[in-house]
Amino acid sequence: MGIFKDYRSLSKQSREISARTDVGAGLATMQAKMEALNNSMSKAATGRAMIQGLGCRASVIAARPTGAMVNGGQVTAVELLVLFPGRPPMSVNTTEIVPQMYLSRTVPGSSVPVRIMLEDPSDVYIDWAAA
Amino acid sequence: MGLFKSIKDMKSMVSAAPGLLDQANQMSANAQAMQANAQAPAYGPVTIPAPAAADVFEPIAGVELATFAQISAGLAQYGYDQTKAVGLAAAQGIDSTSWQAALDGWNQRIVANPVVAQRFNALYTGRG
Repeated sequence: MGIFKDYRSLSKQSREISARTDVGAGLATMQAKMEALNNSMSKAATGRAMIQGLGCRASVIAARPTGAMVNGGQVTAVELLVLFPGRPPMSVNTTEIVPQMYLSRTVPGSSVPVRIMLEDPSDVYIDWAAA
Repeated sequence: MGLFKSIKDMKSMVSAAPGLLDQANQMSANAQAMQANAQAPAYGPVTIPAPAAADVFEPIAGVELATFAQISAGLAQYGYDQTKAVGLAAAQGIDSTSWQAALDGWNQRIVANPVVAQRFNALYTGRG
């Protein structure tokens, strides 16, 4: 009968989905990603570097999308070489929510304006909108 | 009965969207493949075609780029206290006048040339 055929078909597909899906591992991965994302956002959320940081420019060395999206922006791991007048450059790694329209500025070699806390260089703010 | 109603609902669903689960499976596979591609380094450290002449890597006041990067990176252990730079340079046999000339000169080249910036960063981070 058609009903039982459909029932068998649905049961078979459900078993296939269950066999391929490790719900526990999936949730653990999701939690780890959210934790990493929250950690990366914690300094930016304070806005300290944006307000108190030393303003200068940085050269983008590398950028890698993490696969996460926040508020429509691509969460991107960015490696910067911060350039100070009269001081040696400093290599800094940060994770940024890059608005879609500014993704082109993450190309290696791009120059971006930044504000950085000198006593804690991991606290850096990139002003994507500024020239 | 509830059981027969459920079966009837399932039949209705299968009839309405016969390929729904197959499509969902395919979408899941596509999404996983796209995610894997997205996590690959899309903009990894690249070797920018060098427009720079070889002389951009010539030492400045006797200070090689590698030495400049080493001293710059060494400031991390002093909380990036710039006053320690002269001492670190002296430990490498570089006097303060030469260090200042190297600092100004290398900074100028790094700002002007992304190839020099990439190379400095690789040396600074120990990947060079």
